[in-house]
Formats: sequence, structure tokens, C-alpha cells
Amino acid sequence: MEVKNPTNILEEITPADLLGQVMTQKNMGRRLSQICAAYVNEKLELSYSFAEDDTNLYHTLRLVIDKETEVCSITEFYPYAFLYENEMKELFGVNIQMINLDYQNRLYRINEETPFLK
Amino acid sequence: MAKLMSFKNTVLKNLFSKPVTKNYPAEPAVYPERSRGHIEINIEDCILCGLCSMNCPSRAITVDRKAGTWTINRFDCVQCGYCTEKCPKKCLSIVPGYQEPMSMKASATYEKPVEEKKKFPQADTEVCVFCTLCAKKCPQGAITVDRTEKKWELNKDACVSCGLCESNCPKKCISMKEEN
Amino acid sequence: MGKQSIIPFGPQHPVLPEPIHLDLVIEDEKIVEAIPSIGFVHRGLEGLVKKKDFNEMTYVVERTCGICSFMHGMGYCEAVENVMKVEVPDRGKYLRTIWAEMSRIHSHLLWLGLLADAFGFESLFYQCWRMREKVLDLFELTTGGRCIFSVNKIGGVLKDIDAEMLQTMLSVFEEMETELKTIRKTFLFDYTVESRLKGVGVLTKEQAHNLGAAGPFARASGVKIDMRTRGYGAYPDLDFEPITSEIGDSFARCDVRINEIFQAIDLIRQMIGKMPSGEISAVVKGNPNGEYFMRVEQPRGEAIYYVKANGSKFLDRMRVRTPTFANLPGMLETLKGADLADVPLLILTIDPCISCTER
Repeated sequence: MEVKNPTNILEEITPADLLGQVMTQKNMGRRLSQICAAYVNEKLELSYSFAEDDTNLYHTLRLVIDKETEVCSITEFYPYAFLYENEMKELFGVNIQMINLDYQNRLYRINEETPFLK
Repeated sequence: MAKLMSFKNTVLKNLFSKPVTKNYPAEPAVYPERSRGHIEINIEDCILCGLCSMNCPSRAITVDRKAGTWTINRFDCVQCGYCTEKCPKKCLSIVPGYQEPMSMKASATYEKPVEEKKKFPQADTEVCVFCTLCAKKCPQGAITVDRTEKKWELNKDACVSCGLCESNCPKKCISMKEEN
Repeated sequence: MGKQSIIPFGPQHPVLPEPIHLDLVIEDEKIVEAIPSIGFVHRGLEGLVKKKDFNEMTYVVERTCGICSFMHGMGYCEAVENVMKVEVPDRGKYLRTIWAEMSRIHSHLLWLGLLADAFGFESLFYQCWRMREKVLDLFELTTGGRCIFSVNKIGGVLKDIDAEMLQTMLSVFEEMETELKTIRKTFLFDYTVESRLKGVGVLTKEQAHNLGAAGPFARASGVKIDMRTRGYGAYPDLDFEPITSEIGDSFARCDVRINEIFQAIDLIRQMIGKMPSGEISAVVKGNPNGEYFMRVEQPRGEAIYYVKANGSKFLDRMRVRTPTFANLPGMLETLKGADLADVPLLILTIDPCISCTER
């Protein structure tokens, strides 16, 4: 079998560039593979990963932001990002604006606010 | 026609064959040798080092060194077998046979027969290169090594005689010696 | 045009072993829109990285799900191994891949049974689960567990499968293949099954791509996406092609999954034939430092394990993105325009695993 396994790409960007970069990915026909947040050294790290299925390429856009920084939702380009964004908002308290389907922190039924922000 | 009666053969076969299920409990269930039923301890070999309790993902094991007991809450145990991997003396094993249901969570305690003499590691400072590997491997942090002063010290109250320092020493200068 | 009304579906429903709730907006008998709400079984497993060290996390990750438990452990271990630059010995890789393919067989058989149950063919359901039992017995024989195996560790596997067990496996799979061929006839050529599945819940190739679908659900719509082609484990040595279908309806999803069982049996045969000898695990020293996105192909599709480590024994972040998470938007799309009576069936066709999804 032919193995296609290019090295994962990690690119750091600023919140202002996010929508432009996501649009570039969308225009290249890539699929949004996942979004995740991590809380490291008092900073939030958001990773937006895009996958190309023919070549198995994996491209991750990394945002390193403060807790209060506003991030615009990418649901305009990838409508199905709403689940990931709601999850990040609820577990990490990422300040995401304009999600197309905002669960208002009720996606997971948990009592604690932003439990992963410790 | 085949489109309508595609399941007919299976039905007929099942109708005239024995049930595939066992007549449990009249016929006992057979577990293979590797079946992960419960944790068993060979308490004679146990040195109460506490590595199992420190590494248990579900914190089901407690080790009391003063009282000389090893306790497992069988209802908290998830049978992952990580303690059997970590045990330096390989006195823990996972054997077939599931815990029977009970109305309350209960734990099993094993008591270690009291030993008169205890073994403690002793480094031969002539050969020792003070690499600090033993201090790093010690689960209790009982060994202090000072490279500049060329000192190797053991806190005997903390030491559990697990022998990890002995087996990890690159120079093989540590030996376990009996003391009163 | 009829009046719109809303029907709640779930979290308890006979077709759902796990809780998911949908608000179905219906017009007469047709679904106009479905609004999902999950979160009944969120356990916060990812948060445990702060309390369990990276070795113990293997056992936590395995318990994310009871069906693809092995693949979760494998994905997590491979992610950490990639961070630590550990090379697993060949035999370890082969053993992992054999167990992974067996997981695929048992997961797909489970799904086929549930599907048969959903369209009301009870006896077919029992046939599928009877076959699945044989795989579970093989798991118990080789690993000691029937659902959670705990044989993965960072650097390789804990248990070896000896030649005798491999022979048992071969004979069991031989037998199973014959039985499966009989069952396939019923699934693919029966009038009743066809009338419930054909043309129901069509998802076009374009839609599947635009909704980020994964696994057999996407492959049934013609999107050729299979993480095994990334060549982790023993897959680079094996000969296979991802199975796809162009039709994209519920019947195609059933077809793809049945053929994947045959493919998995074939892969296991190939692996047993080429089984290398030697060590089953590598020695791992030190703590991980760095990050990696590992993607593996689970029975349900692409699963992603993200590991971020800082050089201590506790990881900074461990994230599992399960295939159901990616398939939910696709499922909502197939529900639009479907009959109310087909809703349970359509939810089932993505092979949902809600506990995985919420972790």
C-alpha cells in the first residue's frame, strides 16, 4: 500500500489574521478536522486543524491569546465548527463571538464554570 | 424469489441445531488463562514499597508500612494490571475469577508477617561515581547524593527496601545489607 | 403546507444505547430541521491529565469508550511515542494492528446488529451478535479482557500472541467468514431490508466533504478518506484499498461496513502470515516534551489525539476528537427531509458513540 504521511504543519497566527487564514484553507478545499484549546502558562492556545484528504496533509493554525481576547467564530466558513467552538467556550471560557448556534454554555450539563481553566 | 426468502436457510438451520448459549449457571463459565479477574498478592514477597498504590489509576490500593498491611478495594479496582507492571518484586499478579457482587463496597487486607531484620542499600563510595540515578529512581526519595561533596546518604526511615536503587545502579556499587 | 411542530427525541429512546437529545421540527411527517443537544454523559476525562501521569493516562484514555477502547489506547500511545521519538518494535506494531482490526470487526458487527434491530429484524440482530461473541472470546483469550484490554503501553504492548493463539484466530475467522457471507445475503439482497434502507438519508459526496464527515459514513458517500493510508502501525506492509461507495444512502453505509469486515479479516490474515518475531515493546526513558496530532482510523472514522507535554510527567493537554463529533453535522443534514419513522435508523447509520463524543 502506498503510504502518504507528510509532516504536520503548525503555523502561529494572530487573532486578526484568523478569518483570512481560515478562508484561505476553505478555498484550498480543505476540511476542518478539529479545533481544540489548551491552557498553558496562563495563556490560551487555540488550534484549528485542517486536513487534505488526498494527500493526508494536516495543517494547524495556532492562536496564542489571553483569557479575555475576543475571537471571531469561524462558523461563517465552516458551519459545523459550532460544536467545537461551543465546547471551547464552555470548558475553557474562550471568548468566542458570533457562533451560528450558541448553546450559551449549556452544551455539556456541568455545574462548574470553565472547569479546564486551572 | 431469493429476495423474499433470503433468511430462510439460517432460520431452518437454527431451528434444528442446539442453542449456542451455555446453560449457565448449571454449566460453569470457562475463563481463559489470561482472563483479568482480580489482583492477587503474594504477601510473603511484598516489601510494602507502595509503588502499586502510588501508580494505581483508580487509587484502589493502600499500603500501610507501619501496620505492615496491603489493602485493595476490589470494587474500585479496574483490573488494568498497571500495579503488576510496576511491582519491583513481581509479587502482584492478575488471575481469573471475578469479584462477587456484594451489597456494599468492601476491601481486602493482607498482613505481612513481621520481619526482625530489614535490608538497606549501602553504596560503596570507592566505586560510586555519584551519578544520582539511584536518588532519581527511589520511589520514596530516601537517597540523597551530593556530587560536589561526594556524599551518599540514606534516610532509613523512608527507605522501603525495594531494591530499585540496586538494580538501576550503572556501576553496580549498591548492595542490600541486612541490619537490625 | 402543513403546520410546523416540534417533537423531542431522546435522550431515552429504544434505538439509542446512549443519550442524545434532538428537537425535531416537523411538518406533517417530514423533518424540517433537527437541533441537537448533547452533554448528558460528559465526564471530563481530558481534565484528568492534571492528576494522572502520562503512563497512567493510557488506562484512562482506554476507558473513553467500550467499543473502540483498544484504538483509543493505541492512538494515545502512538501520539506520546511520536512526541518522545520512540520506535515501537515491529512485532509490537503488528500485534497492535491485529487487535485494532479485530476491534473493527466487532464494532461493525455490533453496528450491523443494531441496524437490524432498528429496522425491526430481530433475528438478524441476534445472528450478528452471535458472531461478535466469537471475536470477544478471541479478545479474552489473547488479552484477558472482553471490552477493555489494557494491553497498550507507551512503547509497545504488554502481551504477546503466541503461534497457537494465532492459529486459533485463523480458524475462528475462517468460520466467521462463511457465516458472514450468509448474513451478507440478507443484508444486501433482501426485499424488506432494501425497502427500509435504499434511498433513505442520502448524503452526496459534496455534502459529506462540506460537512466534515469521517469514516464509513463519508466513504459511503464517495469521499475517499481513510487514516490507515497514513501508514501507522503495520499498515505500510499490508495490501488494501479503502472501501468506498458512490451512492451515499443508508444502504451504501451498510454495504461499506459489511465489506470492511471482510477487509479486516483479510488484513488479519495478511498480518498473521507476515508476523515478525522479536521484542514487543521498546524501553521508554524520560518524560515527553513537545506536541503531536495523531490521527488513527477507528471503526467509526478518523479519531484525533492531541498531546501537549512540557517535560514533566504530567501532560499539559490531552485531547480526543472522536469520529462521532465530526459526523454529527452530517447526521443532522441527512435528517432534513426524512420521514419521522426513519429518524432512529438515520441516527444509527453514523454509528453514534455519544460517550466517546463527550468524553
